[in-house]
Amino acid sequence: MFKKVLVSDDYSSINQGVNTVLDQLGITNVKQVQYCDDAFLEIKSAILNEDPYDLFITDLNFKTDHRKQKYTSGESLTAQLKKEFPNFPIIVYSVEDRLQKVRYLVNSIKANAFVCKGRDGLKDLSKAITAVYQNNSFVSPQVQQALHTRNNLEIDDYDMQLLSLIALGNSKNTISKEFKEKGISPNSISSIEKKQSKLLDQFRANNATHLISIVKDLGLI
Amino acid sequence: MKSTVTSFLFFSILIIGSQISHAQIADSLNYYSSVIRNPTQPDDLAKAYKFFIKEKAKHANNDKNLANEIYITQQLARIQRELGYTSENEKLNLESLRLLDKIELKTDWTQITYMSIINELGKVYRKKRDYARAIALYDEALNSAKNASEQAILYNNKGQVFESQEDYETALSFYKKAYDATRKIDNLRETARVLSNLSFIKSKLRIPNAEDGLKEALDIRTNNSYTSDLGSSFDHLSRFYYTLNDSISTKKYSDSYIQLARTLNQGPQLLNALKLKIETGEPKYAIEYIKVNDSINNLKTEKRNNFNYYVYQYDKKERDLQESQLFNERLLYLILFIVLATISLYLILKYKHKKEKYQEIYNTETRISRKIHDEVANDVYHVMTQLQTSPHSDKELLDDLEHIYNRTRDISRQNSTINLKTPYAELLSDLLIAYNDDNVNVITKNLQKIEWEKLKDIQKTTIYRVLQELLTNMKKHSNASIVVLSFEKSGKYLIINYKDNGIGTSLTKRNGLQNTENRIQSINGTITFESEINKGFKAIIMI
Repeated sequence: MFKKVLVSDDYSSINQGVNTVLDQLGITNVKQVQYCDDAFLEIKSAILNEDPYDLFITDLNFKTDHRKQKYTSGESLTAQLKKEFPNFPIIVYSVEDRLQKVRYLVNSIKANAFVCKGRDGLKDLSKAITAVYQNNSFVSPQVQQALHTRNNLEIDDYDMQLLSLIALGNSKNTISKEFKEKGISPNSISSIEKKQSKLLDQFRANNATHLISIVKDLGLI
Repeated sequence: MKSTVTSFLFFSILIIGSQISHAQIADSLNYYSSVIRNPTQPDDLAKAYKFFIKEKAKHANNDKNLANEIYITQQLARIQRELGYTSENEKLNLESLRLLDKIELKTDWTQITYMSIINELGKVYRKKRDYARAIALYDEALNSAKNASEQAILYNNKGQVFESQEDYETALSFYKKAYDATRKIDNLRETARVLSNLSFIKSKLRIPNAEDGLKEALDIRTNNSYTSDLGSSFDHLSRFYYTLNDSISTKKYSDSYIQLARTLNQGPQLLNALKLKIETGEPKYAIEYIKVNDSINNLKTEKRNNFNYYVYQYDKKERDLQESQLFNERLLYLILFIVLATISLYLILKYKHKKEKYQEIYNTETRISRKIHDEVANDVYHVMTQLQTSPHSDKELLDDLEHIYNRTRDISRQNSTINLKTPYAELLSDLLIAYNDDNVNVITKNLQKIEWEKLKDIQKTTIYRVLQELLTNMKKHSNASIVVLSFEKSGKYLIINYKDNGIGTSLTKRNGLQNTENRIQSINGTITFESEINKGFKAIIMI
């Protein structure tokens, strides 16, 4: 497990929760700071003293106060650290749950984990530390969609044509034939089946009949 | 205003310009003075007149340069004399005299000018047959006469006045005085003039030696080439011989006069010569006399007409110029007015915009504060009372707290900034995905097909917020499991259809819905709601 960990958060009460988690994981060498600039200096000096940190856990938002900061957010600090030390593990722990933010931090800046502060925040943090230690990444479930493709959201003209053909009582065979005649692809029975089951998922329908009734209720066809 | 601007802009040019115009004025004074003496173009007199009138205006109410003003006034008087406007000429000469009076330091120049004005005025009065005034004038001048030369002239003039009145005795006495004065000076021309006049009067009064005097005067004039004075001698001699019935001599001198006048090509001289002929027994010259007289009159009329025409033209030009300047000035004022109006309009709009902005900020603050009160404070109070009254598990407490936590996060999310640099379709998808969970599926139709980047930022923000509020409402109240958002471009409108399969609502306007209406209206769009209990909720947005 990680030996030496730096935690940066301007709420000491939240730090307390983090400490409990680290304690449970058997990590005792923990240092806490409340400013991004302090975190940056601490990490740098530890490297100079040849006793570097193994992990950095940081919040994203810090209240601005009288101290003028070079790094005003966990985002800019993480970006700088990852630029200088790409292999230094960083876990972002924040109330932030906007997917673009998550996507940017994980995909572009390459933060190793993104944990949302919430009811399961501490549990997720524990999972994240373990995952990162095993060289895996971790993202809290409520923002996991950020990293998935979004094709299960959209329905297109093909889906609409399929739905109206199903509504007319056509079998998959007939639909396949008709698609072939009209030059619409994909038109194999198996791909039509796949599309239909995707629609069933999207509209939370149990079977084709249920699907059509839902779609009709929504006025789509 | 205008002149300030102009002088500011063309300051240096003006300096150079004024130097030039100074030199030009001095040159022009000489130029136009000579033009008056010897006009060649039909508009010469008019030009000179305009020039001197302008120059005179510069001196108005200003006694600084009296000499100049007198000079200019004299030039104007000469123009009037040239045109035969006697009374104008008289007026200007009287004015010159008045101005001359103001000069305290008398010099040779003032004296010479004084004499010439007196001379001119005397001629005017004699022409008008106002002999009394002429005499009075000459007497006054005699009082201040400085030398014999001036006295000679004035006495001679006085003599002529009496001669005109056929008071030959008195005339003789003044001619004599004049002749005495000429003896003290060395002025042959004046001597000849006085001698000729004196001798002629003597002849009229049958005093002997008249013939010698007349001939002596003629000799002086001939020998000294006082050509223009010769006419007077010929006239005197011819008339003298006519009274003696010496028709040969009479004709000899009258012929000489005619010949002289023709050579000099001077209308008035010729007219005099012809008159002499007629009055000395040669009436055949009457026809030519009438002709010459007519032509002189025609010439004079033409001169006057030309003068009037050109003065009018120049006045008109000036008026046009002034009018165009006036027009320019008006244009300038108009432009100024427009600029000022634009600026004030801008300021008013800016002020209004600022006010609206403050109002909007105030509205937002009120909205947020009400939300915190309604959605957070009430819930926290609920938890607090429960803690005090009934025992309950950690799980229940945690559930309640999580609920409050989510509420606060929603409020924060609804008011956080939207990063419009991210592709908008992605931004919108992320917003919608966030509402997907175990209970709800949000489905979009044609979201990716809309050309979002053609929308303005304010429209993008508004759509984002409105969809966010619709979905938050959905999550809070509808129990819906499916939400469909279809996007469609119809003409220049973007139409967004929201539909869910929830419990619907009776459409009494909840805060959230009212808010979406306000937002959509602010970008000139429309939003309409359709809902019945148990029949889902529908909203159509048109932008």
